[in-house]
Amino acid sequence: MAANSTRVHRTWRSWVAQLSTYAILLIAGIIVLVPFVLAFFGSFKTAEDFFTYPPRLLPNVASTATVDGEDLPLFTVPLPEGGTAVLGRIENGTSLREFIGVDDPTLVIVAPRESAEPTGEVVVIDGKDKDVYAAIVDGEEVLVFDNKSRIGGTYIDPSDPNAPPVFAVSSAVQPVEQVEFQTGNYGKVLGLEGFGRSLTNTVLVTILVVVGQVFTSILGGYAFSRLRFRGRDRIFLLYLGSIMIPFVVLLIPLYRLMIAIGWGNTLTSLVVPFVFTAYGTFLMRQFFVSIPRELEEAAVIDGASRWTILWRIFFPLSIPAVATLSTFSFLYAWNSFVWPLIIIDSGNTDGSVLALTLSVLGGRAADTPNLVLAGVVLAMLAPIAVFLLAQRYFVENVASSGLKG
Amino acid sequence: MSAITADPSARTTPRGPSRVLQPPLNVALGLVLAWHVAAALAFGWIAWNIFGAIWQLDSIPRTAIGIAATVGIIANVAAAALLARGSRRARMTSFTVNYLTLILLIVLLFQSLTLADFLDDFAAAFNAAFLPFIGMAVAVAWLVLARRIAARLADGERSDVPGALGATVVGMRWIGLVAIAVFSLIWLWMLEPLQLLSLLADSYSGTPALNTAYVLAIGILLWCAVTMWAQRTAVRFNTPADKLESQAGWLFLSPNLIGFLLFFAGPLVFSLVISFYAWDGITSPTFVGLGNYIDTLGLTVAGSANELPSGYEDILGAPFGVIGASDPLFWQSISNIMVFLLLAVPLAVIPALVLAVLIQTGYRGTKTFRTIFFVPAVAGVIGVTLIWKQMLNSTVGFVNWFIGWVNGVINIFVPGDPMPVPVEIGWLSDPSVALFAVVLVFGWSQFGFNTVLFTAGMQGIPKELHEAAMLDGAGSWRRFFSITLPSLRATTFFVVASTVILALQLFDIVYALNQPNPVGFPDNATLTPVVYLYQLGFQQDAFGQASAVAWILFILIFSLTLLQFRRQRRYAEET
Repeated sequence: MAANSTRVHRTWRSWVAQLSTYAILLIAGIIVLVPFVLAFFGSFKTAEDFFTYPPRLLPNVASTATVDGEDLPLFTVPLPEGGTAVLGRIENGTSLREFIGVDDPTLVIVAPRESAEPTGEVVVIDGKDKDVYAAIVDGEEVLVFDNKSRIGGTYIDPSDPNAPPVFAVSSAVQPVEQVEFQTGNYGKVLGLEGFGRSLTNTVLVTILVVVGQVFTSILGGYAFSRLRFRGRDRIFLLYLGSIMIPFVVLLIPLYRLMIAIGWGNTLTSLVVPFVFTAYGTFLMRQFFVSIPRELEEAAVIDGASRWTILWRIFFPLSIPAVATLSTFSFLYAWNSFVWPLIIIDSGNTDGSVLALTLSVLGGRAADTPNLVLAGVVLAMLAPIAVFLLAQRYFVENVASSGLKG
Repeated sequence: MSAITADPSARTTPRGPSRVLQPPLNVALGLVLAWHVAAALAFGWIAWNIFGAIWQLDSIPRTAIGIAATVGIIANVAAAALLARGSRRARMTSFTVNYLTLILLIVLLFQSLTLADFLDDFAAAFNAAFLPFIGMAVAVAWLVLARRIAARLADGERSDVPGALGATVVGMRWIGLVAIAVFSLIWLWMLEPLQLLSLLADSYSGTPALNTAYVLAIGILLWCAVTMWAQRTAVRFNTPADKLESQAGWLFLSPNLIGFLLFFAGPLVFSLVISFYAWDGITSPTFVGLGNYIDTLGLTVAGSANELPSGYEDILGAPFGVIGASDPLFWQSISNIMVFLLLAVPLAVIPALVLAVLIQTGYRGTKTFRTIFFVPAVAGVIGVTLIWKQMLNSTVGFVNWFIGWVNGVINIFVPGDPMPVPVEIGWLSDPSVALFAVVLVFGWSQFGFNTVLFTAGMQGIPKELHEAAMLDGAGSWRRFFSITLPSLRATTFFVVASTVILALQLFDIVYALNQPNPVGFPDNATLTPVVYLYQLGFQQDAFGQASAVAWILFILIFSLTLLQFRRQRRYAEET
């Protein structure tokens, strides 16, 4: 395809084509990556940070200022004389009154009742009697009426705590925030009951499944590809056919089998049934078939046993296939969910695996989405890392074997 | 393969320490014969106890042990007789009998020592010793890195490698090796192997006589099997090379095949059988014939809802009256999954096709995108779904915020009734949109996988086609519709079929999005067939009916696969 670019004239059309190709790919890439980026930053947020609108990317925490040894949350507060200032809140839930100018209805003052002098007079607004007060605005006395009660906060200037406080209703103030990463979230989620244990359980189960699958698949693949015996092709066809059978059909009988032999609710039930795989056998067989016979002939003449030939000659040659199969079985074992869900009791936090613990966490901890996301990031690290390391083998193989399967 | 038997003298004389385990062949064969007689007697003793009702057992284990013992008697007597006659078949018969008995005894010992539970104990120790394990893994990675660097340096072209660099690489390797050794020792120490061994000893002393018998028998069987397998025995019994090869074939395949039969074929047959029974898992199953299937699929037509036969509920109004179903939830799940398929499959396939075309343009760096698109497919469904669950939050989720932002932009440019800002769509709680949320997550996580399949399919299109078309002046659109798309017919069909098959089994996304609400939430809007099966089998213990649902789903999936196969074959014949 590289030949194209040299042959085609660099007209504006080809530039547009190239540019739009990149643009579309980039948009698709962004759509794919945005949830991961959000999860990554979300895992560093405080729980409260999730409940603000509009949602934000970066983790924010409320800024504070220390006055007399007390941490006051900072807010941007509108000042009565106009403009705004960053002030610390010393009281929330102060009961305030909303005063409105008698002559000038655009004048609105929100302040405690004591800040204005009652005049004893009454005005009628919209058919209701309202008390009239005298308030000081810009050093001049103005007549205002008491419209209604409001709840707000009392704010002071942290640099000048003794200056008269400012009052404002909560909807008028904006919290002052700064970006801060809550790295402690990860420690917290690892400390949650069962999470650390399910992480190590998943590692153990995955290792055992990968090693077991690779071992049985190599043996089976070797038998199918290099040894002639009666019924071989028929059994191979049976294996091929079994790849198409959805696991759903096996859920109930396999569950009953595990219960019957006393393996229910154990990690063994997550390992042993999955060590034998038709797909892996198929993959290894396809690879072994492509290895030329000449390579083993010398060893055969030396009188080496088949076992030796398999492990000394075939195995080293099939590293790409083994890498693909290992990646497949790693991802399968690490991410498997339905089977652990039914075979592991929900109360068994010591026998759980990551996918299961995550789903429980995601359902239970609606008020701590930060910990859920930290757990998600932890659970995703290993599969994504393995995929990136092995993708050279993996992506190509999905393409070729997928079409055959 | 005849080369192996060409030089029989090479292996007939035992060497050094194995002399005890390899007595002269006649003695060894005599011992094997003696073992078969002993084994036949042992099986006979078991059969005596079973059929004489000396052991009080339930009917199922009684039947199983009875059959096993009978087979054991016959097989061992046959092996002994063949061996005594010096028949050619004796070698393989004896080997097969002993090998299968060996596997049986290993399984029995595994069960007797409760090794299934032991893995959980080991997992606890593994957890306690996890840090040095990580250390080991890092050290191995370090060593691999050092090797790669060393291999690069040794790559001829760089003959001017400074001595210091070479020394550094050697140092790296040593550090790696030492680290592996140190971490392995710490790991082994932290695993507390003595503790684990004492646990094993405890379960061993539960039934010491039986376990000792197992261990002894396993040892003898192993010795007998190796003796019969050995080359000198093969020479003695004149086993021809092709027989040797086919025996090796069965032996190599056997671990895989036994597992396949035990954990795949067996359960599959059991599942089919049990789908004809009503079974709660506790009391014994009652045969109901096709009852489960009829109860699940049953549909009937009536003039009005009141005229439906008992057990039927109306699920759909029709011009002629109503359609009633004996299992409305099943049909609800089918209708849900059909809607899901109609929406999710195009979402997972069409963008994939477009992106694959763009990746195959061959502009610099486009292959990187293929890797990026693949990431959702490997990251784990549950994790991915939980991220989306947060993003789909009705009040503070990013999805609604984004829609609100788009609405705001539209409001600026389009006069008339303003679009709502902010948007509060209850993606997870509103029955009318809950399925769309699942579609979104499914499409997002699948299209990357399909992109890879499409790019692979495109690599099979001969470049000459495109080049010829270009010379004829065909533009890129023309070439896409006239060359790329028709050539991708088989690939497209495969991608669509595999996506449909995957979508029909939809469960994880729905489950994780709905937690902690009951499955199918809200209001059964996300009830899929597999969710329904899960509900039946694992929440209501209706194993028979759940198996019937599984088989109905299986038949649906299988017919699609068959269709795909036939399409592919026909396509292959055409070209």
